Amino acid sequence: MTRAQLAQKVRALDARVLELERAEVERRQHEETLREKAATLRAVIDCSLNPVITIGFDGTVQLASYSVERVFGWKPEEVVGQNVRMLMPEPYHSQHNEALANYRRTGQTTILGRTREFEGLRKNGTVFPCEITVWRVDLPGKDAPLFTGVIVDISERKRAEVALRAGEERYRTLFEDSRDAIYIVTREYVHPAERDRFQQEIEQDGSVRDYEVKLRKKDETAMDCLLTSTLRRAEDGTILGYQGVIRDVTERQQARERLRRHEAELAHVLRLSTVGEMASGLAHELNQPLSAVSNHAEAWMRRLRSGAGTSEELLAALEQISQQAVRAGEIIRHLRDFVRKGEPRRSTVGVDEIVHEVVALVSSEAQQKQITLRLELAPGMPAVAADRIQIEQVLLNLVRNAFEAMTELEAGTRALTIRTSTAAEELVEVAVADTGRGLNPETIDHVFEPYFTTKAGGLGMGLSISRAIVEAHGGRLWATPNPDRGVTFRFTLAQ
Amino acid sequence: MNSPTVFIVDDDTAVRESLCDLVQAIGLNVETHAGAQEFLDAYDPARPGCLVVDVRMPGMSGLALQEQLAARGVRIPLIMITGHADVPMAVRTMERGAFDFLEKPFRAQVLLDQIQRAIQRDQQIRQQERRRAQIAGRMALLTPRERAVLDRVLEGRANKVIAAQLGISKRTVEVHRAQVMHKLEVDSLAELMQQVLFFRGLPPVPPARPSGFVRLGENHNSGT
Repeated sequence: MTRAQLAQKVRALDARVLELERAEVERRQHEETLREKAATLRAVIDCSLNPVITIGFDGTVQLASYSVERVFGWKPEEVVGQNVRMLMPEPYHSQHNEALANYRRTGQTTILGRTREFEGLRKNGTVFPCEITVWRVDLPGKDAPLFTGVIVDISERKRAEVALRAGEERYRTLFEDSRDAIYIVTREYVHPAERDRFQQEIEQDGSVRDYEVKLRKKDETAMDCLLTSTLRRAEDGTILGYQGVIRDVTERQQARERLRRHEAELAHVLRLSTVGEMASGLAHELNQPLSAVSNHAEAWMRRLRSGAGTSEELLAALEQISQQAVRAGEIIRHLRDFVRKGEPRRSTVGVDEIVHEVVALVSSEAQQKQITLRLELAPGMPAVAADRIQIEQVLLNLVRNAFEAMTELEAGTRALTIRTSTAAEELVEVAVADTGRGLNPETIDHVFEPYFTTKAGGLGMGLSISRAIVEAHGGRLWATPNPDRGVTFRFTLAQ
Repeated sequence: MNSPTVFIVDDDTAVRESLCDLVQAIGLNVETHAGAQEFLDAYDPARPGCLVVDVRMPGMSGLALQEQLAARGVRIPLIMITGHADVPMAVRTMERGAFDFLEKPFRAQVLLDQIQRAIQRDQQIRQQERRRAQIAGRMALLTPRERAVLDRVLEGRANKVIAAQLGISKRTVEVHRAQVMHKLEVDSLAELMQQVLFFRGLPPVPPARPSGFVRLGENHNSGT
């Protein structure tokens, strides 16, 4: 070889080297680019929170994204090269290879291109619910496809679903088991008769509570009900309707009725018993007019027999007889009214009248027991709305209790004062003050308890019934010790 | 002013007036009062009659009135009436010398009979008091010596013994004795004894047999 030939050869080799070097650079660049691309793709895949796994036809994992570790506990490199069924619990674990083989043979699949629920098996052996989407990937130049699956861990979602269902179940049970009726209605659903009252109230306040209403059952029986309800509004604030609860309080009403009747009966019995205790005093009251009638009649029988006396005198005597008979009749009528059984009758009553009636009933007893009765009645007292007999019963009870309290006192120191006054606005107050042995201020309120009595044969119901009566009239009954001696019982009544 | 008056004291107007009517129907005088104090203020003990009083009245009760009258030495017969069945009260008033105790309503006849009896009793008492006053007047005329003789005569002593006791002569005793008989206006020893014993030993007016207070509510005709 000549030098020229050698030089030529060298030049050719150099050129070749250059080419190779260039090609190498290109190749490297190309590789670099590829690597970058691959890395980028990888990074993208690894960004996925949901594991992405690619397998071959035989089930071997070729690619596993970074998040495989987060979800399955395996590092990606522990999974790649293994059969993907390591990530599957039974029954999938045993079925997977067969399924793949079957697809290879028949092309039948239930999974490709769909999202389906499966279960996944973690490294620590726990199983979790997941959703898997699998695609088939056909790469050019490869004769076997790859399958890429994205796995979404739906444990949370499942938990939420279960909780929601349980919650729904719970509320449904409450709803279904509720003894009250629960409703959601539109505005038009309310009965026209009630519409004004109900709608006004609920739309003004936004809700109603324990609204009293009478409803009718399917069998036409009536029920007393309480409604508790709120408004249903649309987003823009317009009222769509109402929702709420209906409570059947018929039984409660009936129980209240029974209680009221029972109290009325008890009050009646007490009135009878009181009259019994006052019998001798009442007998005396009746004796007076009867004696007068008897005396006049006897006088005139004698005169007429002997022909004495003028017609005018006789007339005067007969008028007296008549008057006294009326007086006796009044006492009896009053007694009869007092022990009458029956529903309370409210009417407008003057408090002074009641005081006088009671005083009439007790005056002879007071005299017998040497008790001074004092009346301090304020003038111009307004009338009250009350059942006259019941208020009389209360006042009579207080007065006779006061008598009882003063029995041990020396004669001459026994005084009972009845005072009337206007307390606050539209309230009338009646006070009964005695000079008796008094009550302990600590326990003074105990006297109003049922069965409390200081009397040997006492029932102990008087004050408790009296308080019930006063409270049923919207008033109060209470007792305070007097500064000097004795006790004052006071009660109020509304006009 | 010496006809008897029935005094009626009762705070109940109807009862008071009807009692008045009743008593007047048998021809008796009646004076009514609404209260015991009113009666006391108006009453003149010289007036004969009887008193019908309600036991229980405001202010002074019938019982208190009875005490007041006793304190003043007034012996007008007292008939208590009551509308209450009050046995202890009844017993108390009777023990203190009430004439009777009646419970309302009573048969009119019962009251009227008792009123008549009470009036009679009152007259009896007054008569006795007049008599006593009369005797007292006569007794006041006796000298101390005469009184001494009288006492011994009543003891049953013979004149001789009296003379010896008093250290005077029998004759003087006879003179004194005659004077006593003369001043006291008696004729015999029997009469003398009667009069003086009456004057000295007159018992208080015995209560009449109670007619109705114990038998509560029963109407009856009372005998004597």
